[in-house]
Amino acid sequence: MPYIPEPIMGESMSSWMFRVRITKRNHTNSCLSETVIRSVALCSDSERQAKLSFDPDFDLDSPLVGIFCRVYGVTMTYVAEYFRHEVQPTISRLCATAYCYECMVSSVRTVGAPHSKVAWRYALTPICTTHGTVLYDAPIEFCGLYDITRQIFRWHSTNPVAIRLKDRRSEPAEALASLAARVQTSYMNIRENAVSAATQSKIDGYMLTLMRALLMPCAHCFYVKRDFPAVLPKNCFSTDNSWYVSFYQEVFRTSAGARATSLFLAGILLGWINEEEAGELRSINHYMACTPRHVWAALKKDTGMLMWLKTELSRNNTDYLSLSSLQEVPKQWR
Amino acid sequence: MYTYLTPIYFRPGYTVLKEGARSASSITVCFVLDSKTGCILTWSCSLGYPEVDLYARALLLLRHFCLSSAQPSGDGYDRGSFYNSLLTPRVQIKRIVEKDKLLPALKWKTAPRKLTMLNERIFLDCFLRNLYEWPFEIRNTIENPYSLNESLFKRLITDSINRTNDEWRNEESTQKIN
Repeated sequence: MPYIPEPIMGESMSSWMFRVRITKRNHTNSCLSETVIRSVALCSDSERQAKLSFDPDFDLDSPLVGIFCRVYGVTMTYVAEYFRHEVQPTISRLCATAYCYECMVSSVRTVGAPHSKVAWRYALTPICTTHGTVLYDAPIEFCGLYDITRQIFRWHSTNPVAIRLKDRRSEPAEALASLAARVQTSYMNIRENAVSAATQSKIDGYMLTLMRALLMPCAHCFYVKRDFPAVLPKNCFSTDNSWYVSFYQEVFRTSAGARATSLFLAGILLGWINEEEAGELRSINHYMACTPRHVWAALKKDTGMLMWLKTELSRNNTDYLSLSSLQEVPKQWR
Repeated sequence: MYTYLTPIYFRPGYTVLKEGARSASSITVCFVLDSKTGCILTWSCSLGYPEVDLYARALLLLRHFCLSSAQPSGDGYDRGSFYNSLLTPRVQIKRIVEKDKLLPALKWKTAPRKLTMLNERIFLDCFLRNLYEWPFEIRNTIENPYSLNESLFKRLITDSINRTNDEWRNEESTQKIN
């Protein structure tokens, strides 16, 4: 087999494919390189359709991956071994702009090119598992670029807007990141201990529901302005939007900073963060919730939210996470 | 075949861009629900059609679906085709006097009414969830969830109907077991 760079731990398939292409000095303009696509005739409509909706991080069964393997002399088992991931709530490829700059820098040092991780695509992991920091968000315009990782790395290094993002590394912001990271780790541990894929899916659903509710406008008093940066899509959380579309879809479109804060608030509701720890964050946001009572009071402001939340959480009840896991639940739930 | 059909009119929280149109519009969808089983049988939407025809078009689609193995797509059922179909021999009532046949009893008979009582709130929760919680394969192709194109919208509705029906059938079988 010709020399193919080894995937970095947790690397996404698109990032690895791009590195393979760089190694082979193939810099043409497509995710899988136009020359590769053109070299093999895409006769059937299904293959053409596959190219349009191709997600280079998760579509392992796409015919385009088969073409890539054939052209670069890689076996499908090799690709499947590294890039077959378990199902988790995932951000769509058209909104996937979260990244960890520190991870990129470390891969530039080791392999000479920035890489992206598949975990950055997961909605429930807004904290970098290696560095424990909240992921950054690049402008939505980067989505769809064949060399998105390299472009984001360049943008972060040079653009003044991106440089201002470093404010997030202030002390209280780091405290929030560490608390949110603790909630994320607890969730991941519970998930790992789950006996079956169905239970795992329910645990994901439970956490995702909490996150969805806490991201709704009724809880926006707990967020700071930088959690909703200008790089987000324009109509994100607009008051004119449908409640249900906002509830179900915005979690996949919002920034990693907002998702980290909602994870922190979910930690308060689940009793994983105590009042004293949460109180330290009052220095970044005076209105930040410290107790479950504060969070419930905010959620109560939205008519119908508690009812809907209870239905959704009950649907995802497991032995690990259930309605009884929540602290100081509202009276109507008892 | 079906005892009680109920129309459910619904206005989704997103707009739909019809092919060739300049701007997206808010639409009404009519779902035909079988009240006995709680399954959604067909649907039609007001995308380019008058809202008063929605139920008729959905029923027509149901008829087509029952007679042939076509999949519900919401297409090709306008007012004209509805009235045309009424004139086809298949639905024309034969107005002939039947001779030498026993007449049915003149006593009143009530149809056996054994309906599964639909819990509206549970059904609505299930329906709304499936309508707005999109699977990753579909979500991965949507840039703006507040404005969808026509083909995607139809795919989304068909998918959500299938999921609602599956979920409802599972719920029913679980209740029977219990």
